[in-house]
Amino acid sequence: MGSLKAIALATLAIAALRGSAGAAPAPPAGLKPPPTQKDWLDVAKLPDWSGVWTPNVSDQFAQVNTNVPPWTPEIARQIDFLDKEEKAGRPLGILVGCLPPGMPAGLLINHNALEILFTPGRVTMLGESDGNRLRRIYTDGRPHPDDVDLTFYGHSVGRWEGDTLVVDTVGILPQTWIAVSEAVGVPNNGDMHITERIHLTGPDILAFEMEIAAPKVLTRPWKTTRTYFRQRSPKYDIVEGECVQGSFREAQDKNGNAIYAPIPQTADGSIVPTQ
Amino acid sequence: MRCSLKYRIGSSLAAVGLAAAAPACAHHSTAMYDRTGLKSVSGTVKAFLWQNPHVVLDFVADAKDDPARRTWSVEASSPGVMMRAGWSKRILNPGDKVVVEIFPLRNGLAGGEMRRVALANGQVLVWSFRAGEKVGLE
Repeated sequence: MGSLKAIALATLAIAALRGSAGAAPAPPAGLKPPPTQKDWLDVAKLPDWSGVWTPNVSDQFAQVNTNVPPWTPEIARQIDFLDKEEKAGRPLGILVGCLPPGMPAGLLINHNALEILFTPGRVTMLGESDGNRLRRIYTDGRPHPDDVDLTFYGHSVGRWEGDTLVVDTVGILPQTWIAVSEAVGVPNNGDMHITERIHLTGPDILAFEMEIAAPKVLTRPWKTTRTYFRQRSPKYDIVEGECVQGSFREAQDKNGNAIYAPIPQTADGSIVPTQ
Repeated sequence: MRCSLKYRIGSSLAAVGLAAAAPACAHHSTAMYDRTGLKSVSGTVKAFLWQNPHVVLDFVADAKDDPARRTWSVEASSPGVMMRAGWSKRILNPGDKVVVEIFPLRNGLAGGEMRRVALANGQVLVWSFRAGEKVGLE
């Protein structure tokens, strides 16, 4: 057999052997390859953020006075009005309607537990109650998309610097609140950009160092750190808490099936009396 | 958190039973409550709604604390938070005699935020949304 033919046959034979030995074929171009065992082992090297994280609510209240956002003069006027309205017993209902609080309110004013999951290329945060708090932070090196679709939690990309997760978020809907309490805040009005450095400050305390740039409502970026305490007791396992369920009552349809019937409500969440 | 409790679906629904009874309001702020002092109201449980976003206790007030003997509708936090504070869906039942300590609605209507419930058997139920501010709670 000629040497070229021999080489060709040998190449084919090697390729066939490789195939039959079970080496995974390369995925079609453009698809994400499945995570490898190494990818999962790399996840195990990340800091331990397991468990359930409960927020420091007292600190949220304290920062209302100690860390006032640098509101623009027009927004400061509105904030002052809302503050007075709250004290007079007519609070603005920032969470009325059970829409997701989004960024940054979902980290600023929430009183409920949070859990953080690591998978290859991603950090996912899920909250208990409060209208679906769910953030996906991509750590696979991808950039923000051009012309990003706006969402409640924005598009987040992150990278690990040692044991600190550095997160960059853009593409947040203009309607999400920069809220200092459930009654005092303002929509970001668009073009908001949030950076975070998230890291443990003790074995069981997690800090979210946030820098919120919102040029439509703030004169300069606002820095605030929000802290969480780790829980491992099974009773802290996150349970379902669908906020909007309270806007419905248990009822039966004409066939006797169990359904939810909406409760008529006014704009501020008050129930309209039925006859 | 809770909306204004000005209106309630008719008390006939509450009389029907527990879970099918009067529903809760939507999410809102707790700033509508007068937090300058707790108001103590004793009465009889009409319904205990273990539901999201807020657990709600409906009870008929005794005349000594509310001459009009109104049905009060007071709320707490979500079932998750309440469960961790030792409450459960079966801890309060229609007919139970209770003394409820409340931050009442500023508008004077029969509602508010319940801070503490004393049961006839001596047990006292409390809760706090600051309860999670320690590591390693059990």
